[in-house]
Amino acid sequence: MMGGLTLHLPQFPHSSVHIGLYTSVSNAATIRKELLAGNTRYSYAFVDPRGVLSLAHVLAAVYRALTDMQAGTLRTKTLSSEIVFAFGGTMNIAETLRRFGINDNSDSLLVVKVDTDQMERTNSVWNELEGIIQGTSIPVTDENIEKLTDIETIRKNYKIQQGISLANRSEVTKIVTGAIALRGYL
Amino acid sequence: MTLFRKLWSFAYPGFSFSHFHRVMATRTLSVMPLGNVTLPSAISEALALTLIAQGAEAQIYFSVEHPFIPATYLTGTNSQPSAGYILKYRPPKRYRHNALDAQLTKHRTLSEARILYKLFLAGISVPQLIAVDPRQGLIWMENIDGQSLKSWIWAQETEMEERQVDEGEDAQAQKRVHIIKPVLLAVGSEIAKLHFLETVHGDLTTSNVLLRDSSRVEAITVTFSDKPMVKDPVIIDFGLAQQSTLPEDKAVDLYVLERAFISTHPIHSEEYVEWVLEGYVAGFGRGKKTAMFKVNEIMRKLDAVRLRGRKRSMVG
Ligand SMILES: Nc1ncnc2c1ncn2[C@@H]1O[C@H](COP(=O)(O)OP(=O)(O)OP(=O)(O)O)[C@@H](O)[C@H]1O
Ligand SMILES: [Mg+2]
Repeated sequence: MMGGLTLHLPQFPHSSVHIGLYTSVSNAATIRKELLAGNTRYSYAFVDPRGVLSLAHVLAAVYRALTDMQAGTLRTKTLSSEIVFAFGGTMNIAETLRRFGINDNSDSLLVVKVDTDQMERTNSVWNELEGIIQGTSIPVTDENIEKLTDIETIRKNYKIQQGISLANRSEVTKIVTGAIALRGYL
Repeated sequence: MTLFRKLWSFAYPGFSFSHFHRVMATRTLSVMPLGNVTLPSAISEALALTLIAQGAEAQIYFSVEHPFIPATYLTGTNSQPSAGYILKYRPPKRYRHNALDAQLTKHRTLSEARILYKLFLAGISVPQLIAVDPRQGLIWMENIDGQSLKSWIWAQETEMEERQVDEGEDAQAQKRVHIIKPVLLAVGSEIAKLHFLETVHGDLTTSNVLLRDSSRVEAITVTFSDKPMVKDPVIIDFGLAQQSTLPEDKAVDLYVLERAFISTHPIHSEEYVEWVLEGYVAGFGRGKKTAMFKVNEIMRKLDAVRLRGRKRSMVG
């Protein structure tokens, strides 16, 4: 059963945002190799969900990438890689992709694809991903995302001081939302 | 320097959202004094935005929708029902040189966004920063649902005056202590937290403090006492805010607020300022010794700034 989610950001109603969530992933290293080789079939943002807090967190990164694309200031080659980069933390592209993107040892994955051209491709996206990822698709909900978060990874990636509690997820989402908005501007 | 801004904020006194839906129509501004200064079309076409305030350099829009979280997913992320969102827009100005203008807009927008975020992280009561686009002069933030301090005090005073005939002077003075004082103590304490972080506001008026109807734990704990519901002051408008370690700059902030009280609430302004300062002194560094030293220095500077202000107004 497909658990993928397709939605539209209010400010970008013409772009379809597809988000998939996978557990028990067994071929992360292969996916990463194809990505590095520039295989165009793999033009998705492959994110390690250990660094993801909530759906709102994902959407903040997608929004940042879309506004930068609109302004013509993408830092990376594609919108997909820009989404991973937009998760932020640092201005160093390689470092950010390593922190938030897929790793050889990733055993779960959050995948994002944005269609900016109004073409309805929803089904082909899920089919294509089924061919790429060896794993189990689960519904994209905050509950499921939460189970995969490693809160200390969040603290490290966003350099959140020890004094600030990470117990309340919606408060932490506010913190990372601001960090994503201001990345490169602080 | 800020006189022009001041005139604008008097011309368009604080708009608050407590009765948003009821009075929206009367509050919506139709003036566009700077010519072609409308929002980037990609945004105005996508979202239903309502212009609710027009300042000297910024337009304030209200949006029911979040810029990037569809309504159906908002409930999952926010425990409280959403009060909507604010888009602060600094449009390009025609009378400024283009390249310079773009630089200035970018600088002011970024500076405000950075300070908002920094204060939010430090636990100061400010609107949450949601997004910023310095190139287009846009800041998205949380809408604070509540009146400005200015209109709230006006409302309280009006209500008390209407009852004056039955209640008399003493009862009223007591009511002010009971209702207005706790709020002004909280306002003073919030400003103290801001200053303790070596941040000065730059335009601290009674319209730039909003009172959020407190829906948090405190509200529950006071239910059983006879205390009125405590309003939660939120400081807004950091367009002119700066980092400063100087006591003098903090004193000027307080002086600007004092002047705002005097011009908008003349009858009881003395009492109001006293309460704000009481909250300020008590809240500054929460009684730490070094903090007491600093706050005394700020109070001394405030006296000096007042004196200077008086001399200046005598000269004319
Ligand atoms: N986050 C917010 N929530 C609710 N109302 C807001 C918020 N931000 C602004 N407002 C309303 O809009 C008015 C103007 O906002 P603000 O003071 O930030 O802009 P401004 O004074 O025009 O800016 P500037 O003069 O610095 O260019 C406020 O007095 C308040 O009524
Ligand atoms: Mg203002």
